[in-house]
Formats: sequence, C-alpha cells, structure tokens
Amino acid sequence: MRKLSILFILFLLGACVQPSLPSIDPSDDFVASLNTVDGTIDFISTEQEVMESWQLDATYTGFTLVSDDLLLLYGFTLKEAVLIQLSTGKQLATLDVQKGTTFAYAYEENIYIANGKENTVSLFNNKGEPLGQAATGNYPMSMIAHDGNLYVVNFKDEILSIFSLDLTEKNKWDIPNSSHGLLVNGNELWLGGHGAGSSPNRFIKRYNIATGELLGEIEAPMMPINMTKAANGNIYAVSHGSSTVYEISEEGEVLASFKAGANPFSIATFRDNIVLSGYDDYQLYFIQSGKVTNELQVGKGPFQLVVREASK
Amino acid sequence: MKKLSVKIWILLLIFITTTIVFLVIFTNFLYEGLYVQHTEMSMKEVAENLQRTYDGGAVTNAFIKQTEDYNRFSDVEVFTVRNPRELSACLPFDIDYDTLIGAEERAELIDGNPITKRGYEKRFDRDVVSVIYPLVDENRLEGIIYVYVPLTKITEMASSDALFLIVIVSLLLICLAYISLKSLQRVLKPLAILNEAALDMAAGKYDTRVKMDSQDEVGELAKSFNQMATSIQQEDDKKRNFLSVVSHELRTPISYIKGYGEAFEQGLVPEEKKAEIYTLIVREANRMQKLTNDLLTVARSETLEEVETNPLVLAETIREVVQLLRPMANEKEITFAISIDEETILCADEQKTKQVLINILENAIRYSPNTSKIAISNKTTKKETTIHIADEGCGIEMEHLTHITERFYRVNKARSRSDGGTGLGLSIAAQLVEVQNGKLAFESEVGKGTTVYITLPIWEDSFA
Repeated sequence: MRKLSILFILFLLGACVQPSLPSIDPSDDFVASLNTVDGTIDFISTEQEVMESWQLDATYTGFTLVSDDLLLLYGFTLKEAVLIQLSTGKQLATLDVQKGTTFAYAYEENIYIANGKENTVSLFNNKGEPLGQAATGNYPMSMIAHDGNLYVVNFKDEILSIFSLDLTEKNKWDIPNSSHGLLVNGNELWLGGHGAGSSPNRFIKRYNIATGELLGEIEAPMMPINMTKAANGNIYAVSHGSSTVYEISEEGEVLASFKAGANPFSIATFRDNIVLSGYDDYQLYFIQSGKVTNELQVGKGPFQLVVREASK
Repeated sequence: MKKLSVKIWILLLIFITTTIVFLVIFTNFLYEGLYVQHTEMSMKEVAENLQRTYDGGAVTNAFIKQTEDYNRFSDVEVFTVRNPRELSACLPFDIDYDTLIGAEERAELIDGNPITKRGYEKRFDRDVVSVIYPLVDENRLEGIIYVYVPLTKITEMASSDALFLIVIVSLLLICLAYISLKSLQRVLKPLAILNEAALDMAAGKYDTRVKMDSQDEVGELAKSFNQMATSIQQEDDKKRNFLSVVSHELRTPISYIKGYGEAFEQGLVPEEKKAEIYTLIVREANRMQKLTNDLLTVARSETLEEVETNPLVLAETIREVVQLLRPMANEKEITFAISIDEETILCADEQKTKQVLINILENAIRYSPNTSKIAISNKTTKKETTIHIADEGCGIEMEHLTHITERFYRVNKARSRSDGGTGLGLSIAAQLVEVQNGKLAFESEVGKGTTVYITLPIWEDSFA
C-alpha cells in the first residue's frame, strides 16, 4: 500500500514536470531551422542531415542562440519567451514579454526583445530576468549590436533607433519604411527591406555606421531582407521577392547572383557553406562557390536559421 | 358567401404573386447556374491560354503587356501580378498591405492548382467571380494570372436595394390587383345584369330582355337568355290564348244546354219543338265531349316520351280508317281514291297512327266541297314511307300554312264552330307523328286543294 502511494505521488509529480525536448549534443555544430507553418525546429548536422527535430507546443515565430547551449524561443502572440537548454532539452527560464514580440537579439550576456505592439525594446539577462526597457519607433524588429551601440530598425516606421547597450537612446537615422535585415560590414551598416506600399524594394542601403550617412546602394532586386558574411569575406544577401541570392564584395559590388529556393527568407553561413531556407518549398539549400550543392527537406515554412559553431 | 368575382380575383392575385416569385427565383437560378458558370468557364479558358504562354523564370514585361493587350479586347478583366507583396510573399512579416491572395490560396497556387472565387473582393470593392492561375517555376510562385468579372447579382440587388425592390413589387402588385379587379368587374357586370333579368323573369315579367353588345361567351349567354325569354313569353301567350279559347269553346255549348234546360224548367218549350231541342242539346254535349277528349289527348301526347312500335300494315290501317269515316264522307258524297302499296309495313303504334289518319281525313272531308274526291297514296323509300292525302278543298293560304298545327289555330276565324272541329285535330296529329319519329308536312294551293304528307318509318325486316 505504501509503495503504491509513493508511486502515485511520483506519477503526480511526473505529470507536473514539463516534458523536455530531445537533447542536442553540445559538441555538435548545427544549423537550425525554425519552421513556422508546422511549428518545428530541425537541427541539421555538418553532414547536412537532420540530426534532431523538435515539435514545438506553441506558435513560436522566431528563435535565437543566447549562448552555445541556450536557445531562446519567442512568438508574436505569446506572452512568454522561453530559454531552453540544448544539451538537456529542458526549459530553464521564461521571459515575461508582452504579446507582440517581433525579434530577439542576444549580445554578450544580454538579450534584447523587440515588441511590435508595445513599440519597445526590453533588456533581459541570460537568466531571463528583466533589466530595462526603452521606447522605440513604430514596430521595432531587426536589431544588431556593434561597438557599444544597439541598432533597432522600426519596421513600420521611417526611423532607425540607436541605443546604448543599456537602452539609453542615442540617435535616430532616417531609413525607408519596411526595412529589414541588418549586417555590419567594417564601418558600414548594411540595411535591406521589403519596400513600402505596392512597390518592392530593390536595394541594400549602405550607411556609415558611426554617422548614419547614406554611402550608397547595392541593387539586389527584389526585396533583399537577409544577409550573411561568408568565410571568404564576401557577403551573401537573399532577395525573397525574386528568390535570388547575391554574392557581394565587401566594397559593395555585386559579384554574382543566382536563383535559389522558393520565397527564401533566411540565409546563414555554416562553416564553408551558405545555407538558404525556402519558405514555400520547405527546402534548405547548401551553397558553395555560388552553386547549390545540396538540398534538404525540412518542416513546413522554414522561416529563420540559427547557426552554432561551438567547435570553432 | 364570397362572390365569384372576389374568388376569381383572389385566384388571379395568387397567380400573379406566384408568377413574380417564381420569376425572381428562376431568373436567379438561371443567372447562378448558367451565366456565372459560363463566365467561370470562359475565364478559365482565358487564364489557361495565357498560362500556356508562360515559359518559366521571372514574369517578363512582355508577358505583362501580352495580358494587358488581351484585357483590352476581352470581355473579362484580366491582369498578371508579379509583385511578391501582392502574392503574399511577405506573409510572415506583419506588413500593412492588403494582398490580392491569402496564405492558403498562395499554398494552393504554389502546388499548381488554380483557384476560383466568388464573392466580395475588397480590392475591387464589389462582388466578383474570379479565377486565379499560378505562374510557377520550380516551386516559386513567380506570378499569377488574375481574371475576374463583376458579379452584379440579382440577389445582391435584392439585398442591397431590398426596400426598393419591395416597393416596386408591391406597387406592381397593387397595380395588377386594381387592374384585375376592374377588368373582372367589367367582365362580370353583364352576369349581374343577367342575374337581375333572370330574377325579373322569375317574378313573371316575361317581357324582360337583356341589352348586350359584347360578342364573347357572356354575350352569347345574353343572346340565349333573350331567346329563352322570347320562348317563355310565346309559351305564356299561347297558354293564355289556349285557356281563353278553351273557355270560349266550352262556354258556347254550356250556354246552349243551360238556356234550353232553363226553358224546359219553366215549361216554355212547346211540345212540337221539344224533339228538335233534344237533338240540339245532345249535339252540344257531344261537342263538349269531343273537345274534352281532344284536350286529354293533347295533354297525354305532350308528356309522351316513348311509344311502343309494332309492325303495322299500312293498306289495312287506311282501309279501316276510311271505313270509319265513310258515313261522314257519304253525307257530302265525297269519294276516296286509295292507291296504297299493299306491302308497306309501318313501324308504328296502331292507335296513334289511326288517330293521326282520322284527324287528317276528318279535316279533308270537312273542308272539301260536295261530290269531291280525296286521293290517298304512298311513296316508300328505303327507311320510311310518305302517305299523301290530297283533297280538292278550298286550300290554305301560305301565311297560315306554318301555323295550322298550333292549337286552336283557325284559318278562318269566323268559321270557328260551324264546321264542327275543335281546333285541336292537326295539333294532335302533329304531336302523334312526332312521337313516332315521323314528319308532318302540308302543301296547299288556294282554290285547288291541300295535300298532307305524313312520313313514318317502315318496319325494317332483319331478314330482308
């Protein structure tokens, strides 16, 4: 009888514990794809194979690596963002964010959360504790940090807000509406976007990262919205409107362009590969030297890519 | 009790309302079922044709222009869209933009499936039927061909302008109701007049007539009514006339008998006159008896519908009748010339046929001069025989000839009683011939004589 009671209590306790996700070996490098249509994350190994798949229990719309073993998941309709330990698959902490999370960016020990409903950026530490908040323009989204500054693109606004790392507003630049996708290239900040209204954007804008001066434009039609710096120093940009990948030199010269994927939203550098996710065809494309070397089927609607290169 | 006009009117209203409702539904059905379907088919054809010209890759300006050219000459609206934003390509990003297609439609299109939509489209701010065909290149939705036709539905009109429609239909119904009521009253007014006339007739006003100009069924009815009224009036006149004649005919012998009776009672008749007066009384009594017998015969033959017919040898019958009348003929020294086919067999009732012959021959004897001749002969056809009875009497004028079978009709009004007839003989003969399916006809020439034609059916032997 006593044994039975203990078993029953254990059962109750077991029911209360959150089910953990499959663990990811800390020694494995991976590129992870968040598939928003079917709510899964696929972890792809350096062998370009799906080594693990997570079925998510909430409508997460984005994720980011906070550290090599910590993955932050957030959703636009969710009140909480979660921190999951990859090596155990367990949820370590929740971040009290309000509904409307559009983007999260981890830099050093800090986690910055942009909220498109509240029009704020919030600062959390990597334990999920809130440290501060600042008001932004309309619908903050893309963020990047460089040299003690946090650059925040206001998606439905014509302002780029610049904060210190503790969220003190420092400056504002004029940018086009519906801008998205940031990359730091030396002393330049490159900015992509969808384009406002019915006319799609065709350019990546180059700003002086210190002054905000517009240095020039790189033609990359249509709708360049994501960029990554490859191992060779060249920059790969993806234009989802025309499903085109552009290889651009550090000086801003388009070296090559080719069609890849169907409506690709995300591009990332994974070792010596460029990885591209096709939102409409559910494929990841592995690109080397301007050529697709491999295609890999993932879950439906791969929207965002995250790379861990722990062994690097 | 509701009037006929109200009943017909309600029926008409129900018919009209049903027709309108049916028409609305039927028109809608036709529109939905045929027109919209047909439009969809032709739109699909257009889109398919255009889709076939797409070679893959990015949608070129030439392709856009080709669509625009097509649109210029087509009766449907068609355009090509290649703007990724319109195609919901930016969907995961919260973009303030009304795209032309939604996420689900995009997924369908990427799979290469066309989409057909029917309903309100915000872009065009109206109800449309639209057909969307994808331009897909290796899973990439490079563009879409959008074909649409505004759907100015009848039901849409009904829903948006329901009040207007209701008012129009109500007005139409009221108008139709008024018109039908007025027309019905107009059509049925003669019936009311006829009804009034019939009531007048029932009250005994037989001179009532209906004035009607219309040539339709009601006009015909009015005509028939007038004919009926004339007949009734004539019959009524005849009846009155008949009664006055009967009373007059009876009054004369009665006053004779009464006068002589009173003379006897008071002893005013001398002995030598008594015998003569007795004869007179008997003669008048006979006349009364004959008159009442004839009246009885007339009354009976009027109600007679069927007679029992038997084979009857005509020659034999005529001989018997002539034998019966010979004393009367002898008084005037009248001779008979009989030339009857011995083999003629009538299909008739013996008593009635004899009665007819007696009445006709009595008349002939009565109006023939002394020492004249009455010729009796017959002529047989396949189915009937006609007996000719020709006298050499004074003859009858043409104007009287058609009336001589009427009761108490006398050619010479002054000769009412001197000839001893009751004025019913020919009338009875005519009726008796008629009930035996025969015909009675007269031919006469004044001063030369009269011929009577009695046509009766002959006995048709089944073995003949």
